[in-house]
Amino acid sequence: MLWAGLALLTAFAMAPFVWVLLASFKTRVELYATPLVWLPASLSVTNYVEAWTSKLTPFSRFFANSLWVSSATMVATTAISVLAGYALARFRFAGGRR
Amino acid sequence: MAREATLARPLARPLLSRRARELLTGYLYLLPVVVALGATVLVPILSAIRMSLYRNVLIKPQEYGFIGLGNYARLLHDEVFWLSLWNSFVWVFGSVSLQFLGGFAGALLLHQAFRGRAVVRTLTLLPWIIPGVVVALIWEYLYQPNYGALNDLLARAGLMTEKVAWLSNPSLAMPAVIATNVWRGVPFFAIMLLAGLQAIPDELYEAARVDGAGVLGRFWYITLPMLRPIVVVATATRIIWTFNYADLIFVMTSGGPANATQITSTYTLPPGVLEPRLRLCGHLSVVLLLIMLAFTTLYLRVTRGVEPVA
Repeated sequence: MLWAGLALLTAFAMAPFVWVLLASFKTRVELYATPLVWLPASLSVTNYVEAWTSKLTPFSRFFANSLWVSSATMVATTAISVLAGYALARFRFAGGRR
Repeated sequence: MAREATLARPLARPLLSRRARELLTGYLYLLPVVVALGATVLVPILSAIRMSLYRNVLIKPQEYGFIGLGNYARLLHDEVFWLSLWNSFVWVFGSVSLQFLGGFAGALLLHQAFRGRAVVRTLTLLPWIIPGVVVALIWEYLYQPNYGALNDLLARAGLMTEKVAWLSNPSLAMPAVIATNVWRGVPFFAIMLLAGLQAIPDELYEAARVDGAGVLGRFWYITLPMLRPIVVVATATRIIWTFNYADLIFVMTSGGPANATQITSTYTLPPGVLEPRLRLCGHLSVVLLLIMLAFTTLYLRVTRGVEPVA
């Protein structure tokens, strides 16, 4: 009973990921085949290499952008929030409760 | 943090009193956050309000001008707007209630002791962690009529003879995007409620067992009341988020087909170039803002005095 529920829960959460993972190894022919091919013929990583390096979808560049945006955001928000947090905790302002 | 006693007066009176200097320092510390929030929150809101008072149709720049509440008056007769409000209600109610039920079941399961619990917890949390746009793309692919997994699965199981275009059928599109949102939101409720379950002391259950309470009795008289605060907070938060949550629908259907999945927050987004409704939607943003203010007020009232257990 417990295991059936857990299996159902995990399958519910994971199935779309598994499908996309399988699709990521497929060749173009396999992707658009009718009837649908479930398992890719080989575990080729060409799609990943292409996504990472191609001019159309330069994921290396996207990844660098994400890294840059998130670290800049982190540094800026932390700096600003630390100052504000300190001020709100340490000083008494007009309109404050105490 | 008591006020420090002044032991000795300085010989020369400083320009500013001690209190004034302290206040000034405090405000200086607050300056960055005021500037940042002002630039990212206050200014956009004010400019949206200002924008909402002007006629601003992009293809008719010569008609640009102040029209007061004209945009709002037109909104009252805008059928799509009223439809989008109704759709928002369906979207929020459908998503949140199913997410809650699924998440509650998941939390009860994950609360049990079993081998590999950490692994299962991590795996089931994954849909919540990945970005909304990625969720939308994955599910668009699953729903795809010709090479999507869902149609293929149903056909193989013998449940379907004709291919179904899930996202372009007006009566199926809303259930389809809600299902996607449920998939995404179940882990949220599961993790929140799991935290709540873990905070319930075991002694309560032991005492109830000694008093002869069964499984259902313990669930009804201990688990549910003890979870109440976290249920209220999680559900209220989720309602607000779901109402605002536009990216999933925007990526999957852009509010179509024929506005079947148009919710108020997607209706507010700038429409595509080919749309006849080529105007800036400042007034819609303001309406959305007012609705969210109402929600937030309600939220603060409902959750007042309710402390989350986690």
